[in-house]
Amino acid sequence: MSILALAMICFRRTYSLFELNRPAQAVFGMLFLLLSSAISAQQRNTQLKVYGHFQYAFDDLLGDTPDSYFTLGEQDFFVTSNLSDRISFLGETVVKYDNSSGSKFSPSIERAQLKFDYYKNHSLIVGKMHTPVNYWNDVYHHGRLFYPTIDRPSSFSYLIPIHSLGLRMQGQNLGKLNFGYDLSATNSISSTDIFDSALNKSVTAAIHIKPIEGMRVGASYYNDYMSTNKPGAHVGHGSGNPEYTGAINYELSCFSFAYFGKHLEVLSESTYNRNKTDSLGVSENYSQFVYAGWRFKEKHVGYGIFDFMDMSERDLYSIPINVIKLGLGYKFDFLYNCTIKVQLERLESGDDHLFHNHNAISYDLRFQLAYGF
Amino acid sequence: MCSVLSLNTALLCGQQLSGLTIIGNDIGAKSLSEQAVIEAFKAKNNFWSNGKALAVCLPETKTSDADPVCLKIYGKTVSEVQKFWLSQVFQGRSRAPHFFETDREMIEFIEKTPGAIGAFVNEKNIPVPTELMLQIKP
Repeated sequence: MSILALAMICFRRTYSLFELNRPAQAVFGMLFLLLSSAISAQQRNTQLKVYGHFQYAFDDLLGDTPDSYFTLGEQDFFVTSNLSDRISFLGETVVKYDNSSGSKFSPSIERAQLKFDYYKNHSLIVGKMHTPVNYWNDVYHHGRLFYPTIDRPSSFSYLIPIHSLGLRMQGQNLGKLNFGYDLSATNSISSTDIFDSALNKSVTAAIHIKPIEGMRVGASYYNDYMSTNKPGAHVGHGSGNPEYTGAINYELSCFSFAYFGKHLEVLSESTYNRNKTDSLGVSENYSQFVYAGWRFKEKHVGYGIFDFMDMSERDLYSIPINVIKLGLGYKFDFLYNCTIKVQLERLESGDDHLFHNHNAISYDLRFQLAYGF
Repeated sequence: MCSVLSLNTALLCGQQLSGLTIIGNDIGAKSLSEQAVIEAFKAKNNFWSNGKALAVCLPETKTSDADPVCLKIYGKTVSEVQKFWLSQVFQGRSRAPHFFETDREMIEFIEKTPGAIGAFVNEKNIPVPTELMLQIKP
């Protein structure tokens, strides 16, 4: 049986399983064509990998009945190929929950990029990528297998422009400190993956150093002037603020510290977001995420998290919400490509100021099985 | 002949990498420091000084060579090295390494691939073409 025939059978089975719409069929068709060419073109070192996760949660919202449920998480199809010694392709297409689709799942192209290594460790990247504003977004992407915790920091649902489509200059491992930079000019947050009505582009400037093995320290600045605030494909994974469609000057500054040693693991993500609108003026939003873990016996990690986000009542870019989450967790890397995490967390969120008794409080227990192969 | 080559290899390797056979094809140098070898295997650079693209070659993870190679070069277990590479490729920062079931397969691939560097134990004393041998300085 030819590889292509096998791929088509898989495609048909997948199609009937998910009852995909036409764009989804096209994406899956492309994926399986890539799979078949991946196997038949090994000399180009083309590879297809799949990442995904399942979850179970027990959520106890105070004053409400608790919920207990299983969740089918994102299924991530990841393709890389070396087109030549200097040009490579990377694609990441994720099938994930989508309430607007009939099957409740739909595919989304999260990354599709061509990288041209034009000189030593300097590269030009073209395509859709994860905006390199902080460590988490530049390193973990959609791979729950690599996440140190079960979820992204809360700021990813409100403040962080996760995706970018455009051009990016990248340098890495330069000099003794392993200096790295990313400079990009990309479509606006309000754009789609095929069109941007704005003439100006969003810009990102990010730098980092890796002074010792396992450590990375970085800072970034991101600016996007949006003539209309429309939650597009490049907004965070939240829904933005569809009620406000006026102009916004969006500025984001991030600082990341990451250290993943033999035993000690620390990740700190600090975010400062300043939005300016004609109607309500300047709003300032802050978030701070801290993860601290201790790895023992190579495969076991005990950890704690602190996730804080404070948004201004005057913010119009997103719906103002404040979050404070405290959690304890345990991670077991029982295979290099399979991980179980358990996380107990207390989440306080709402549109009132934190540390008052006006917000919703819930206690959640989550289990996650993440894999990649 | 085979045993002579193996002995030479052991002598050519530095302290940390002793016991490993390190070979490379057209990498712009015939001798490298241990640090340079380790950095190459960790894909710190995309290219060698002569402009050839770096291709990392490692023993397949279930082979007997995998343990000593991962421990001496990466200071990690086989499982940790697998995760390291999975993550590097997922980030889009490095190209995936090549894995080989046997030393002979690795030697043949490196012979055909300018810019390739590989490491194995060579317990069976397989003859290694002298033009591929690298002198490793401590």
